Amino acid sequence: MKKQSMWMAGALLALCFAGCGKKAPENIVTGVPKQKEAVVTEAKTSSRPANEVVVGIPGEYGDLSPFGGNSQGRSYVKYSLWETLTVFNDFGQSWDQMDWILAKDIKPIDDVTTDVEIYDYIYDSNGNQIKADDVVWSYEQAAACGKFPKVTSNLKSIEALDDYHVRMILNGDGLGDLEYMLSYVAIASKASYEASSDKMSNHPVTTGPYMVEESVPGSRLVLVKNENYWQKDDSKKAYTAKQPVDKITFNVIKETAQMAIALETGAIDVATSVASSEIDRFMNADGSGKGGFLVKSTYGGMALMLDFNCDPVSPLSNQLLRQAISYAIDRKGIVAAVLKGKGETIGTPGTRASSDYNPAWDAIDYPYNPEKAKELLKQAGYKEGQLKIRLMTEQTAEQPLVAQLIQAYLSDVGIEVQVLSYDNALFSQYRFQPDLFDMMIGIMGTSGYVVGAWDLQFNSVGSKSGGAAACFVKDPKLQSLLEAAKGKNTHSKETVEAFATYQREMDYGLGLYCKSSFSVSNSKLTQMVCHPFGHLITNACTFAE
Amino acid sequence: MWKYIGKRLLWMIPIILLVAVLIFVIMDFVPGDPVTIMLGSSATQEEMEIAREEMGLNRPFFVRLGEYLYHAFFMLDLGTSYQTSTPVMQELVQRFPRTLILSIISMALAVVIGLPIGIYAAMHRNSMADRFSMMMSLLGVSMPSFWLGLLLVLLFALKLGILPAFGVGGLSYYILPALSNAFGGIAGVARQSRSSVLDVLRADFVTTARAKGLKERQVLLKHILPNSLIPVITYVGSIFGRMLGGTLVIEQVFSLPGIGNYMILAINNRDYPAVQGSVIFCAITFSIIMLGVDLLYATIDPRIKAQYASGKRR
Repeated sequence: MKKQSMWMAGALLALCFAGCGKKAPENIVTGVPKQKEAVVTEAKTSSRPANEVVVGIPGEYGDLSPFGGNSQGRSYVKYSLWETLTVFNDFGQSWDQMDWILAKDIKPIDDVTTDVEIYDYIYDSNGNQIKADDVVWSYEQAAACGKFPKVTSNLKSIEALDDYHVRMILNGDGLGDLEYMLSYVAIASKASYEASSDKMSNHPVTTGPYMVEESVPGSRLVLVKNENYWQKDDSKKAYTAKQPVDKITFNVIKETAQMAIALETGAIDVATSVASSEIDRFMNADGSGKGGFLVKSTYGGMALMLDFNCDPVSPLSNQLLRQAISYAIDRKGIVAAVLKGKGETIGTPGTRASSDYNPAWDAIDYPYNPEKAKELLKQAGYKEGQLKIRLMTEQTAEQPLVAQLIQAYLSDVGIEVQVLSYDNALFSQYRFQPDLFDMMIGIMGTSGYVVGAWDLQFNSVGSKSGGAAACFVKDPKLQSLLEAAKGKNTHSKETVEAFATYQREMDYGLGLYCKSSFSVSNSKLTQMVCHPFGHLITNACTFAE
Repeated sequence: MWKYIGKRLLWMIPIILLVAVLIFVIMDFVPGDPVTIMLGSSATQEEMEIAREEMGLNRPFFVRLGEYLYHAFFMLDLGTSYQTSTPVMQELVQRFPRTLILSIISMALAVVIGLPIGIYAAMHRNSMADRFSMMMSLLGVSMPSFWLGLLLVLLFALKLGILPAFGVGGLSYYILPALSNAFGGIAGVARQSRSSVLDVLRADFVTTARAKGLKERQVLLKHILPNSLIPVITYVGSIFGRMLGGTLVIEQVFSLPGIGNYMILAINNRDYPAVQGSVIFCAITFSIIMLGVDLLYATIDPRIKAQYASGKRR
């Protein structure tokens, strides 16, 4: 009996281990790991009517009001609900290149003053007319609520000139400032907002092409077409103002495997975000869709950086040491190991989707060279094994993995790295304290230009530490080059190049990678359209007849 | 008995008050600034000060604490979430029933399946069935619920297509989450009830009952079970409490917008009102469950009922 039990226990344990079995980790240094052939799935067509679509979004949409803070889920739903004066349809556009939505005409008066005329027939879903007073009120609300810091800091004043004209005065004339201002504030009717019992957080009265039919916070949002949508003239409709289907249901699916399963089972028609680990089930090596699925890949506005703490308290205030670290890190290896190759290394701290990003930077920005790293380490005055530095990272799915890889790469050249991993709240607080870390892995976004990311990282004017926001450096030359590169009238290929060259030489920060984001749909869609920031806009997509 | 229930309910007031003060103090002292999270890294010091002023975070600690307690206990207003700008009470009222339903179904499964397995295993100690059930129990307590959840989704949603894989709707939406959530509980209840029944089996009164010629079924139902159920009920009560606050992983896997999901997002974002409100909500529910557990003791064990009646036990 005892023997039988032992055999049974052994068999069960063996089964368990077989089930949990995982391939031994590939050598991260030698490049792309061999990947198992992905299971090919077939796109299942759902039994839903053709004029309805179900979309999976990876995060909660939160507050649906026009002044709700940005959340992962909100980015996918807000364009169907709310309208702004203008909207970007590509990175780095100027105000006259953007799609105009509520704006009928835009006239810059001087470097900081702009007059905007709105259509005289804009109505929200309750039938309240939107006039210049509502635009002024919406901007004032956005500036006061504190959730749009750039609006709060850049908007000097806004006033209604008459029922359909507003004058907007900005505090500065930075590159992209006016475009940001025109495209970031959702316009709502003051009367509708004040009549709302929940400040429109769950039941908004919208200005967009769709309105809310049902909202189950954290789970499901059902939108229906606004039959009385104010803009009837198709030639004047922005790409975000289309109404291709009668009903859009957004389902919140946070678990990456569940998102893929939902798509495979036909529970959703579109997955707005499919993880790198799951995408091979839907995508061929050449980027085309597999088994009837349609795949859209974008870089979006986010990039991963390695910021060096250049404050005198850190050993990384030593330029040679920073360069040694940059040469020691194999960024292609990181992309292969962490993103399964679904991303691109970047040649500067900033996203490669930016309009002024120069792909030539990729080749010259610190190629992987551990021997050179060792040499520079020696020149910096450190022997192998003598230096110990702290690498701070946020506790997300990816960043701790990147931190571990950097730890391994630097260990190879004789630098010991202590990884400090914090949750979002602590990371957000500690990143401004130069005594708490030596290097930091951070995500940097941009509003269209690579200089936007540089501005956030290297601008020392008005920062909390007195030095540049991400690396604490106080370098007047860097600052003057930055001012030239980001100035509306001085931004040019030359000024951008001058900053990139000097930054690369000083090595205050290293760009790591831009991650590919994937949206996948079944045959219900024939073309997917994303906002330049990478979010799929469902009602901008083309649907099968 | 009613007097006892009344006393217990009155005791809940200082307990909940203490919980509210404790969580307020903890959230205030824990590092991490909600304003920095909300405004992001590009906000200036001045903008952060403006936001702090608007959120009332720059007022003295005791003023904020007093106001919070007053609003929470006298106005039933738990504040507004920093992240979603919605009233916390409204969110909790919407989300809590889902967590409660999930916990109740999971617990019911744990009891209905785990208890008979444990009793059977004890009554047939050292048999193949006993060994097998205990081995499965070991597997159950060791297996991560999210992993089991995904396996169940693969089988029932992807392969068989008979159950929904995520979201909220009718009861069918709770089947897979409840099964995943209950598996550890089934194993725990089985192990607890087995060991509890084994303890009682050795007691003199069981030997006496058998010596008197009672049938084994009568011995089990009248003597063994009532005496062995007390630790099992305590265990079930405590796992129910744990389930209420700890269904986070399951809620995440099955995209079930319950209180666990809400709370973890709130903790990560230092959304003070949301965390404090959720904790107070959980504390009230847990106190009521524990009262229910104590009342169950009395139903099962007449000695405890007598103690309640005489007022010796509080």
